[in-house]
Amino acid sequence: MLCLSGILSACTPEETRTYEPKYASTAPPGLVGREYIFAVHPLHNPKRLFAVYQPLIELINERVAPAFHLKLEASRDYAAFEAKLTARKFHIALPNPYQTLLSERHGYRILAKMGSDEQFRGILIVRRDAKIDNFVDLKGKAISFPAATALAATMMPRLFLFRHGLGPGDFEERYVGSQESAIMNVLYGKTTAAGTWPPPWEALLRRRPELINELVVRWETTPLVNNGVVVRNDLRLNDVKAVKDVLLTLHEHERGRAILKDIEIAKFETADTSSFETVRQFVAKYDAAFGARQP
Amino acid sequence: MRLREHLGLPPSMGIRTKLVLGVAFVHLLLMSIFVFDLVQRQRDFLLAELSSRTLHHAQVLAVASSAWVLADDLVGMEEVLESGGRGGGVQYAMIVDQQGRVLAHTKRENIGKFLLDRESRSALSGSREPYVYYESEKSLNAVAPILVSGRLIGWSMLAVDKSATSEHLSYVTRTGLAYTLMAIGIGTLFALLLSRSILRQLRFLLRGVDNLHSNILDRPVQVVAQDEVGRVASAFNRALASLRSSLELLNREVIERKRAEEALRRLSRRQVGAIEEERKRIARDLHDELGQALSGMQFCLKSMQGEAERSNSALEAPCQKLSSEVERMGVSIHRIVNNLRPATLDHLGLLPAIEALIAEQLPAMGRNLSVKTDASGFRRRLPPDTEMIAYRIVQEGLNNVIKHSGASHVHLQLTVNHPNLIIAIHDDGMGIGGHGDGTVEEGAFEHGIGLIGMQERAAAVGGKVEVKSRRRGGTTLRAELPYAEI
Repeated sequence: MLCLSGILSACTPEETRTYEPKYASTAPPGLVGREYIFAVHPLHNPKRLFAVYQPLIELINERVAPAFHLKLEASRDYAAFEAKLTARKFHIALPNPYQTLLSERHGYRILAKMGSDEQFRGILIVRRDAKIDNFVDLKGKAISFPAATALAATMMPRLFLFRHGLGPGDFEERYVGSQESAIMNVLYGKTTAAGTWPPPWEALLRRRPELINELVVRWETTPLVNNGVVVRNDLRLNDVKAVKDVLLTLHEHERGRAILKDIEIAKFETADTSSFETVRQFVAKYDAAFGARQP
Repeated sequence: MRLREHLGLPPSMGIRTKLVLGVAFVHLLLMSIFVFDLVQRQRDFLLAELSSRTLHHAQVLAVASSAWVLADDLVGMEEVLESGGRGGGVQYAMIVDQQGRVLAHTKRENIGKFLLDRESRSALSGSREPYVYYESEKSLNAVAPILVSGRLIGWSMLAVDKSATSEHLSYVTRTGLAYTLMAIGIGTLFALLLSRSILRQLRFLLRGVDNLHSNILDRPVQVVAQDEVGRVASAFNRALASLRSSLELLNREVIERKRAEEALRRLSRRQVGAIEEERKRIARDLHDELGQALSGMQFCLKSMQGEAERSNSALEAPCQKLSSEVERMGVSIHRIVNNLRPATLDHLGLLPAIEALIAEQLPAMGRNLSVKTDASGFRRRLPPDTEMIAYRIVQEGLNNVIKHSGASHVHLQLTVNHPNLIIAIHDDGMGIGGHGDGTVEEGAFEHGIGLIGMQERAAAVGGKVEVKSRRRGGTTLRAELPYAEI
């Protein structure tokens, strides 16, 4: 019987207390200070975007503490970003030029813009072995784009192709959510060409340099104004100024330059609504070519 | 202390019971150790496996939800929990940010709330590796950091129900117990069969011993095994056969000895009878011939004496003297005849003959000796041989008392107790040398008191004579003479 009771006791756990987490509707005192959401449009997939922009956020937070702090937020795709932008979820955002104009209509004002406008152009990537040498070779083929409202990666290549004889219906447009995804579709042969812009392409080549043997930039568009930085119009001016000061002085110190290098721009510049006039003109032409889009 | 005594088992417990209990106990002990160890190992393995699986689960949730946390995409996080936070015994799963705010939860009412309890708060400030931060009887609570580019952006937390593990352990335990009982049953059955095989031969051996005890030697033990017990049984049979052979030889010797004794007894009886017949013939001859001659001589001498007296002859005196001598010779012949063959014995029987013997002998010895005689059981005459032998034994016994004992009292007992006539002669004399228990060593009477003669006479009718004596404590002679009813 001693043996049997020993066997039974082997199944008896030592800890008999039960545990359930406890929740509170409000944060514990002193836990959460004033927090602003800093959103970046889907230039990259969220993790890549976090890797590139989180150092900037940390630098700003160091500079503005303890008044407030920023929290970086990515978005699932362009549509999600635009939905949150129009819903005024973001306190500060880094939309593309088209979305910059869009944000003005939803209570944001332009604070600055990314420099290096020459980088802001669309490129069309094909496989080296695809034998796509002329625009007509794309006829009837599928072209992958990140999203319909990706200005450099989608809108500019589309208008470029339109101007070279490939109008709506001449090729299949596939919106695949992100820049990297658009390129990968070409790499694996799911689409014939991909619309994107230089930063994500160059970043991909840095990670996988062997891809240069398989992919090639076949066409590129003329540049346009780079992405803007917008702030919600209800933010405290001092806070806005603090953020703006950090952004505009990044190129002046080593740490800032390292951040700018990852972002692949030279600096942030002061900007306002007039800075994006060329974009307004491009959008007008684009709408003329493809019809007006829903805001 | 012996194990049996230690366990309080009775000493009379049989081999089978001991074997069965021993095997059952050994099986119980070994299986208990085995099952205990098995359950412990299973428990350790299952808990380790559950812990590993839970940590992996938490890690998967953390990785899968990282993009949605970056995007603050609650729907995306819900989708992650929908796909990864169900099944596998998950009680709940949640994604929280660095501040402990619940971003997604399998129980949606908790979304947007802050973790408050000490265990959860300490988990959020703990290791940057997945780990179990709380373990209770019913659940395992794990946390995994959500890291992007080495930066912490939140936590995945989940609790896994341990009841499946407990149920499995319970199942293993029950199965182990069942196997234990089965092992005990099989072991007991095996022990029963084994004991039956062993004890069967032992039972035959025991029966053989009982037979031996009852002097049944013609039933050898049945040998049903070739093992050690079987060899013992074979050896027992050989010993039994040898014993039977020796006993048969002994019986034959006893029979032959009895035959010899019987022949000796018949010879002795014939010898005694012949002696008595010879005595009887001599007595008759003495009485009939010599007595008649003496009577004639006495008659002639009386006539011659009368003639001489009338003639006043000088022959009167010699005739008278010669007549007296002849008369004395007649008396002597009468006494000799009576000694040779007491006529009282033939005509009146044993008791009158003995009384006559006593009356005749004691005064003749001129001693101050009193003789007390008791007789019982004499309802009829005994066989002549028996009476004659009894008479001679009494005669010899009294003769010994008179001659050697120096006793003043003699007690003679004659008892007829069919089929024996018992004679006891006890005196208060000086006794004779002998053993400590009073018996007289063989040969003590050989030359002086005629014990052998008495024994031979008794043996002639299948009887015996014993003498017991203590120095200065008197002597008892006891004779048993079997007789057959006339």
